[in-house]
Amino acid sequence: MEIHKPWHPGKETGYRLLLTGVAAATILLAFLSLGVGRYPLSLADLLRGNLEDGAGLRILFGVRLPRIIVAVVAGGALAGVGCLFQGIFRNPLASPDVLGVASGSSFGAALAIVLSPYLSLPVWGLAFLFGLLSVFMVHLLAGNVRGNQVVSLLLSGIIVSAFFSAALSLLKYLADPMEQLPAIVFWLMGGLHRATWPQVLGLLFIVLPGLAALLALGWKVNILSLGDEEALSLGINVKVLRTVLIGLGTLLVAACVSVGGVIPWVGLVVPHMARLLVGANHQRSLAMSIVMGGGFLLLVDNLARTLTPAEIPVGILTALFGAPTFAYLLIQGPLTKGGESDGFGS
Amino acid sequence: MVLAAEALTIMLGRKAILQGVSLTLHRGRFYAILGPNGAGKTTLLRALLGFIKPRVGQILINGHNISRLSCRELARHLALVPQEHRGVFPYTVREMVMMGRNPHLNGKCREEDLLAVERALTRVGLETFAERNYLHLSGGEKQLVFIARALAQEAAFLLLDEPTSHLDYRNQQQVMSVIKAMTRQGTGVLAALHDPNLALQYADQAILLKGGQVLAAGPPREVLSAENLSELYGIGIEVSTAGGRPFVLPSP
Amino acid sequence: MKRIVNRIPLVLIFIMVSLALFACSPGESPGAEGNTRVVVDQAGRTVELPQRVERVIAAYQPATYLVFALGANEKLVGVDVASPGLEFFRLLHPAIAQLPGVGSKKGLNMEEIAAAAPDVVILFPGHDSPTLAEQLAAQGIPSVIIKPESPELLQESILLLGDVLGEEEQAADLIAYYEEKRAYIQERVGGIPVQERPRVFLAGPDGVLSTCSGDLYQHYLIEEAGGKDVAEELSGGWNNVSLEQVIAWNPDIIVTLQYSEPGDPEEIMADPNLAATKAVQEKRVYRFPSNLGPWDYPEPRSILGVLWLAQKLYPASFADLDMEQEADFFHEKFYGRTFTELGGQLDGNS
Repeated sequence: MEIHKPWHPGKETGYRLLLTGVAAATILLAFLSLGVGRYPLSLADLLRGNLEDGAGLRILFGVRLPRIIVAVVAGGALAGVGCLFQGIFRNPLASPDVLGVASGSSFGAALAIVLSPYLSLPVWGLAFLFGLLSVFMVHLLAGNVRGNQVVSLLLSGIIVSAFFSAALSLLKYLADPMEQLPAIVFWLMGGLHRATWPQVLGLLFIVLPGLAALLALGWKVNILSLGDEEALSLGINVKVLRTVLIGLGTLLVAACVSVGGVIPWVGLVVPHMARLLVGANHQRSLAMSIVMGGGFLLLVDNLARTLTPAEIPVGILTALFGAPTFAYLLIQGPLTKGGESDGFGS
Repeated sequence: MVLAAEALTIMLGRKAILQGVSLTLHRGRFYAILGPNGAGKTTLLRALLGFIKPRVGQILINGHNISRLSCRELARHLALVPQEHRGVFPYTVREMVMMGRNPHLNGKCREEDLLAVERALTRVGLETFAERNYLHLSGGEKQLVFIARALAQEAAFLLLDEPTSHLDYRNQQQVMSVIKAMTRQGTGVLAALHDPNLALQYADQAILLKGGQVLAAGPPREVLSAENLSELYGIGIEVSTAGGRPFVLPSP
Repeated sequence: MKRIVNRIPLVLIFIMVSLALFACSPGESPGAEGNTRVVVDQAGRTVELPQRVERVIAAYQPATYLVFALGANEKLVGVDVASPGLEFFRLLHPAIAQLPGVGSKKGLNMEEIAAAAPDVVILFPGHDSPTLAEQLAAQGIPSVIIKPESPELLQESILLLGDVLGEEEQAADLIAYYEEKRAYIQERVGGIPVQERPRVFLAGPDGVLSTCSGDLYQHYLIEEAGGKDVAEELSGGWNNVSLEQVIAWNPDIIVTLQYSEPGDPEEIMADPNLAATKAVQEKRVYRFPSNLGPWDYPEPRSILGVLWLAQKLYPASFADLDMEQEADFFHEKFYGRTFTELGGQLDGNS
């Protein structure tokens, strides 16, 4: 039987070029960001070696470099997990927080702050722990519910989120208003300036292998997105795969939130933008989400630390940019005639 | 290769959806399951695919209980064309069909996987649709995509749940003839059908299911008698012939 | 050749990591020996400072107020975000409008601070403050944390900053004035038993529907002035209360703040809902001064606030107190110009 030549080479190379292009742009942005900041140390100074008596060097390595790394890594991880969850839950509104990681982490951070007069616990540590715990609780709850597992998970996520939100409100009420409450509130708004080098290295240690694993499983996410029974019939152990993917995603998000606070919208909007560029195949959209997410958060954080003399919490800016972008995508999507829509339904 | 159900009983709470159902299916034959709504046709298919655990009885492939097989292994033997598919992501037709290769894939795509996909696309006549968004296809074309996916899966048996329910007359015939052609190539097909006429036209064997029990099983012309059908559906049904070919009509 | 080229990324990584580790270690000690001294801040930290401090950054508003009160405002090279816009500061030190606002309790901009090259940064008390202080230390910048959260602590802050900024004399004068005025008030009202003290309701930022709790600075002001805070059992900052609760408390006096919204005493006295309270019936509803910035903040001028309140609570006992004169004296001594010159009005609204 006549077999036509399988893949159009053009399609695959086109994708590779696009991905490399966006990745290169992100790396370039990272490099340029070394020269951005309110301290008078520009890229030109850097290249010429004008690092006046150590102060400039300290700013570079103590302030700018860790932030840039965290922005790229956390942005990539959040966008990647957002893409993953949108696929697993078959829901365009899924975000990395859909199962309550951010709510749990927020509670953990607030708890560390409120307990600080009695017990000195690291804020990032408790945030990480409670982030993981909240999803574990979701898992337990959903496991006891009969019926559609995806719906059970989503509903359990809502319940656990609500629980931790309420508990957080209680902590805010109990917190010392002069010293603790502001600390809690501003931690919640997200900010990458808190990252110390040990935290940055810890984040890299978790996120880099995590994202690699995610990319390796990208193909299976496609099948998972078809529905539980269809995926089963195609040889995917749905329960195991979903648990593994959720666990992986949760680990990544908890790590990011514990270092940078709650940063909304990145995980929700960037995957849609990625899918507009490379299509719905998760192998591609995951990779593109990761590189775009890194670039996006880096860009926003550069603004957060330079627009005004004070630090603008980065979560505010991601919301300011994210919401209109999402609105734009929403409007553009269904009105696109023919061709791919943004990556969700038709 | 033989797919068998032995004394299958499936309960939902106190209610028995299937009771003591036994079947043996061979490759290369087209089996049609007929019955009223709620008779248990979908449940039977889901049990055969390993989605539900039977209260009593077992499902065997070549004598091995399917509960001992992993999802992957089972998927190499059984393929499903779903009754309902709510697609969310606009994969291309080729990507969809490629997913059928999953039980055989071990990491990267190999030459044989790519060829299997091409073969499948050609057999259902969708070569020119390969790069299109599968969600934008018509009902009949979408059904062919799922069939192509099942073909790429290279499974011994194909299970279909009401494959023609959303299709127009022409598409119905097209899909059924593609499926029939598959049986001639060696695939065993089990299709839950709602129209006895389709069974009469295409099936090698008919199985009548009512209230969770097998009413009758055998060659369509024998089993799909006016008497059996009337009992099955609970209304008066007549069987006539036109040009030597039997067809079914409700009693006037 | 290829091997060398391949090794370059490794070498770069090695260099980066070494530099990163170098950056992690505490910053180089500022200057040679003998050039520094040590102070202990209000968070209990021992901080090494240069002998003379010429460049100061006040990272939150109360700190800025303190720097001004100590007469060290010329040394400011950076302030909190809100201060450049404050009229009081601009009147006293117009150059403040050009100073960078480097942060607030919400967070600090490290780069902005480093660019201003301060000798010391005055930090707010907070859960994050020790961490911020460490980050500043990594940049070679010492910081002191102050905690002016009660009258006693405010006095400690004054002394500490007097030491830090080299304005020990002014600090001593400020404390002396404080002590003198406190003694003056205590003399007249100290003997009055608690049950007979006027009951005061202090309206918070949300008007009469909010009040301060027992752990806020404003509560201490009431106590110092010889009043009884009706809401002293509450805790947790500014609390929201219902009208019912306010009426149930039936305060003798209602005081609103400059930043209470709504806070106009006329409006409150006209409010039919509050007509049942003694304060409204006796028309004892006042607004805490002043139009040049609130005197209820944890800063030196709060002593004037206490004097003013004491007079309102016990008009007979303090008939000899001329608040305007007192305000003029205080402002001239510690800020260089009288209250009236600066445009201050005791019952004006800011």
